[in-house]
Amino acid sequence: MLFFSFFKTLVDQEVVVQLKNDIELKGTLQSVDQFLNLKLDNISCTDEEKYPHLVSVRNIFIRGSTVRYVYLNKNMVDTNLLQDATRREAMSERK
Amino acid sequence: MSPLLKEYLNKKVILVTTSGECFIATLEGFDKSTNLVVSNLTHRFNNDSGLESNVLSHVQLMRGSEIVACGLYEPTDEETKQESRYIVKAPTIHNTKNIVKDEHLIWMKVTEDKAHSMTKRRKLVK
Repeated sequence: MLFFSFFKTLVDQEVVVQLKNDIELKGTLQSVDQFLNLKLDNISCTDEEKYPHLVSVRNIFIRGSTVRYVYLNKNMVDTNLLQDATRREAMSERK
Repeated sequence: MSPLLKEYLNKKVILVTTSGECFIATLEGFDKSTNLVVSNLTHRFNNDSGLESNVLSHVQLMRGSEIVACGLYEPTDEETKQESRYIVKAPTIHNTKNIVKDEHLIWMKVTEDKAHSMTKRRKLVK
Protein backbone atom coordinates (compact mmCIF):
# COMPACT_ATOMS: atom_id res chain seq x y z
CA MET A 1 0.00 0.00 0.00
CA LEU A 2 3.03 2.26 0.23
CA PHE A 3 2.96 3.35 -3.36
CA PHE A 4 -0.75 3.94 -3.21
CA SER A 5 -0.07 6.43 -0.44
CA PHE A 6 2.90 7.75 -2.34
CA PHE A 7 0.84 8.47 -5.43
CA LYS A 8 -1.84 10.07 -3.29
CA THR A 9 0.73 12.64 -2.21
CA LEU A 10 1.33 13.44 -5.89
CA VAL A 11 -2.28 14.35 -6.60
CA ASP A 12 -2.69 17.74 -8.32
CA GLN A 13 0.87 17.66 -9.60
CA GLU A 14 1.90 17.40 -13.21
CA VAL A 15 3.30 14.03 -14.26
CA VAL A 16 4.23 12.30 -17.50
CA VAL A 17 3.00 8.73 -17.84
CA GLN A 18 4.54 6.37 -20.34
CA LEU A 19 2.32 3.45 -21.26
CA LYS A 20 3.44 0.02 -22.34
CA ASN A 21 2.26 0.83 -25.87
CA ASP A 22 4.85 3.65 -25.94
CA ILE A 23 2.32 6.48 -25.71
CA GLU A 24 3.39 9.27 -23.38
CA LEU A 25 0.79 11.42 -21.71
CA LYS A 26 1.38 14.58 -19.73
CA GLY A 27 -1.28 15.66 -17.34
CA THR A 28 -2.28 16.62 -13.84
CA LEU A 29 -2.75 13.64 -11.58
CA GLN A 30 -6.34 13.76 -10.47
CA SER A 31 -6.73 10.55 -8.52
CA VAL A 32 -5.29 7.11 -7.87
CA ASP A 33 -6.78 3.90 -6.56
CA GLN A 34 -5.40 0.78 -4.94
CA PHE A 35 -4.51 -0.81 -8.29
CA LEU A 36 -2.54 2.33 -9.17
CA ASN A 37 -5.04 3.10 -11.87
CA LEU A 38 -4.47 6.75 -12.62
CA LYS A 39 -6.76 9.52 -13.60
CA LEU A 40 -5.17 12.44 -15.41
CA ASP A 41 -6.69 15.79 -16.17
CA ASN A 42 -5.81 18.23 -18.95
CA ILE A 43 -3.79 15.65 -20.79
CA SER A 44 -1.61 16.21 -23.80
CA CYS A 45 0.15 13.57 -25.82
CA THR A 46 3.87 14.21 -26.24
CA ASP A 47 3.70 12.85 -29.79
CA GLU A 48 0.37 14.12 -31.04
CA GLU A 49 1.23 13.68 -34.72
CA LYS A 50 1.79 9.99 -34.25
CA TYR A 51 -1.05 9.39 -31.84
CA PRO A 52 -3.96 11.72 -32.64
CA HIS A 53 -6.35 9.33 -30.90
CA LEU A 54 -6.49 11.37 -27.74
CA VAL A 55 -7.02 14.79 -29.27
CA SER A 56 -10.34 15.94 -27.79
CA VAL A 57 -9.72 13.99 -24.61
CA ARG A 58 -8.98 16.12 -21.56
CA ASN A 59 -9.65 13.69 -18.79
CA ILE A 60 -8.45 10.12 -18.96
CA PHE A 61 -8.51 6.98 -16.87
CA ILE A 62 -5.42 4.80 -17.27
CA ARG A 63 -5.40 1.21 -16.12
CA GLY A 64 -2.50 0.75 -13.71
CA SER A 65 -1.37 -2.51 -15.29
CA THR A 66 -0.55 -0.78 -18.58
CA VAL A 67 1.69 1.90 -17.14
CA ARG A 68 5.40 1.53 -17.80
CA TYR A 69 6.79 4.67 -16.19
CA VAL A 70 5.53 7.67 -14.32
CA TYR A 71 7.99 10.50 -14.74
CA LEU A 72 8.17 12.81 -11.77
CA ASN A 73 9.90 16.01 -11.05
CA LYS A 74 12.79 15.67 -8.66
CA ASN A 75 11.30 18.09 -6.17
CA MET A 76 8.06 16.10 -5.97
CA VAL A 77 9.72 13.27 -4.09
CA ASP A 78 11.26 13.38 -0.68
CA THR A 79 13.54 10.37 -1.10
CA ASN A 80 14.55 10.31 2.54
CA LEU A 81 10.96 10.20 3.65
CA LEU A 82 10.19 7.52 1.08
CA GLN A 83 13.11 5.37 2.20
CA ASP A 84 12.00 5.76 5.75
CA ALA A 85 8.45 4.77 4.88
CA THR A 86 9.73 1.76 2.94
CA ARG A 87 11.68 0.56 5.97
CA ARG A 88 8.75 1.09 8.24
CA GLU A 89 6.45 -0.87 5.94
CA ALA A 90 8.98 -3.69 5.69
CA MET A 91 9.22 -3.75 9.48
CA SER A 92 5.48 -3.89 9.96
CA GLU A 93 5.22 -6.77 7.50
CA ARG A 94 7.81 -8.79 9.37
CA LYS A 95 5.77 -8.74 12.57
CA MET B 1 -13.98 -0.11 -5.04
CA SER B 2 -12.67 1.88 -7.85
CA PRO B 3 -14.94 4.83 -8.33
CA LEU B 4 -12.60 6.52 -10.80
CA LEU B 5 -14.79 5.72 -13.79
CA LYS B 6 -18.00 6.88 -12.18
CA GLU B 7 -17.83 10.31 -13.77
CA TYR B 8 -17.69 8.75 -17.23
CA LEU B 9 -20.90 6.74 -16.88
CA ASN B 10 -23.37 7.29 -19.72
CA LYS B 11 -20.87 9.50 -21.50
CA LYS B 12 -18.91 9.04 -24.70
CA VAL B 13 -15.48 7.62 -24.06
CA ILE B 14 -12.46 6.73 -26.13
CA LEU B 15 -11.13 3.27 -25.39
CA VAL B 16 -7.64 2.05 -26.11
CA THR B 17 -7.09 -1.69 -25.90
CA THR B 18 -3.95 -3.71 -25.23
CA SER B 19 -3.98 -4.95 -28.82
CA GLY B 20 -3.67 -1.34 -30.03
CA GLU B 21 -7.24 -0.76 -31.17
CA CYS B 22 -9.08 2.44 -30.47
CA PHE B 23 -12.84 2.78 -30.11
CA ILE B 24 -15.50 5.28 -29.22
CA ALA B 25 -18.40 4.06 -27.15
CA THR B 26 -20.82 5.02 -24.42
CA LEU B 27 -19.84 3.72 -21.01
CA GLU B 28 -22.73 1.86 -19.40
CA GLY B 29 -21.06 0.15 -16.51
CA PHE B 30 -17.81 -1.01 -14.94
CA ASP B 31 -16.45 -3.00 -12.04
CA LYS B 32 -13.36 -2.93 -9.89
CA SER B 33 -11.22 -4.83 -12.38
CA THR B 34 -12.10 -2.33 -15.11
CA ASN B 35 -14.36 -4.73 -16.97
CA LEU B 36 -16.52 -2.34 -18.95
CA VAL B 37 -19.98 -2.59 -20.41
CA VAL B 38 -20.19 -0.27 -23.40
CA SER B 39 -22.83 0.52 -25.96
CA ASN B 40 -22.76 1.82 -29.54
CA LEU B 41 -19.17 0.81 -30.10
CA THR B 42 -17.51 2.30 -33.19
CA HIS B 43 -13.95 2.59 -34.40
CA ARG B 44 -12.20 5.79 -33.36
CA PHE B 45 -11.17 6.66 -36.89
CA ASN B 46 -14.00 6.08 -39.21
CA ASN B 47 -15.22 8.29 -41.95
CA ASP B 48 -18.72 8.74 -40.71
CA SER B 49 -18.60 7.48 -37.15
CA GLY B 50 -21.95 7.67 -35.53
CA LEU B 51 -23.70 6.28 -38.56
CA GLU B 52 -25.78 3.28 -37.64
CA SER B 53 -24.01 1.06 -40.15
CA ASN B 54 -20.62 1.63 -38.52
CA VAL B 55 -21.71 0.48 -35.11
CA LEU B 56 -19.62 -2.57 -34.30
CA SER B 57 -21.88 -3.69 -31.50
CA HIS B 58 -24.83 -2.22 -29.67
CA VAL B 59 -23.88 -3.49 -26.25
CA GLN B 60 -20.78 -5.38 -25.30
CA LEU B 61 -18.57 -6.28 -22.37
CA MET B 62 -14.90 -5.49 -22.57
CA ARG B 63 -12.57 -7.44 -20.35
CA GLY B 64 -10.61 -5.27 -17.94
CA SER B 65 -7.34 -6.94 -18.78
CA GLU B 66 -7.72 -5.72 -22.38
CA ILE B 67 -8.21 -2.08 -21.45
CA VAL B 68 -5.32 0.38 -21.56
CA ALA B 69 -7.09 3.67 -21.11
CA CYS B 70 -10.52 5.17 -21.12
CA GLY B 71 -10.75 8.86 -21.87
CA LEU B 72 -13.71 11.17 -21.77
CA TYR B 73 -14.52 12.24 -25.32
CA GLU B 74 -15.28 15.96 -25.43
CA PRO B 75 -14.37 17.43 -28.79
CA THR B 76 -14.64 21.08 -29.62
CA ASP B 77 -16.02 21.90 -33.07
CA GLU B 78 -12.59 22.80 -34.32
CA GLU B 79 -11.16 19.49 -33.21
CA THR B 80 -13.89 17.54 -34.95
CA LYS B 81 -12.90 19.30 -38.14
CA GLN B 82 -9.21 18.66 -37.53
CA GLU B 83 -9.81 15.01 -36.91
CA SER B 84 -11.31 14.53 -40.32
CA ARG B 85 -7.79 15.03 -41.68
CA TYR B 86 -6.62 11.87 -40.02
CA ILE B 87 -9.49 9.74 -41.13
CA VAL B 88 -7.88 8.74 -44.41
CA LYS B 89 -5.53 6.35 -42.70
CA ALA B 90 -6.13 5.29 -39.13
CA PRO B 91 -2.90 5.74 -37.20
CA THR B 92 -1.68 2.68 -35.37
CA ILE B 93 -0.94 2.25 -31.71
CA HIS B 94 1.44 -0.46 -30.57
CA ASN B 95 0.11 -3.25 -28.44
CA THR B 96 1.20 -3.39 -24.82
CA LYS B 97 2.68 -6.83 -25.03
CA ASN B 98 6.12 -5.89 -26.35
CA ILE B 99 6.89 -9.42 -27.39
CA VAL B 100 10.53 -10.07 -28.21
CA LYS B 101 10.75 -11.88 -31.51
CA ASP B 102 12.28 -15.36 -31.27
CA GLU B 103 12.83 -14.96 -27.56
CA HIS B 104 13.30 -18.71 -27.16
CA LEU B 105 16.38 -18.55 -29.38
CA ILE B 106 17.91 -15.92 -27.12
CA TRP B 107 17.30 -18.05 -24.05
CA MET B 108 18.68 -21.10 -25.81
CA LYS B 109 21.87 -19.14 -26.46
CA VAL B 110 21.98 -18.06 -22.82
CA THR B 111 21.71 -21.62 -21.51
CA GLU B 112 24.26 -22.80 -24.06
CA ASP B 113 26.71 -20.14 -22.96
CA LYS B 114 26.13 -21.07 -19.36
CA ALA B 115 26.77 -24.75 -20.04
CA HIS B 116 29.85 -23.82 -21.99
CA SER B 117 31.36 -21.73 -19.21
CA MET B 118 30.55 -24.47 -16.70
CA THR B 119 32.51 -27.09 -18.60
CA LYS B 120 35.34 -24.62 -19.03
CA ARG B 121 35.44 -24.04 -15.28
CA ARG B 122 35.39 -27.76 -14.59
CA LYS B 123 38.39 -28.23 -16.85
CA LEU B 124 40.23 -25.49 -15.00
CA VAL B 125 39.55 -27.12 -11.67
CA LYS B 126 41.02 -30.36 -12.90
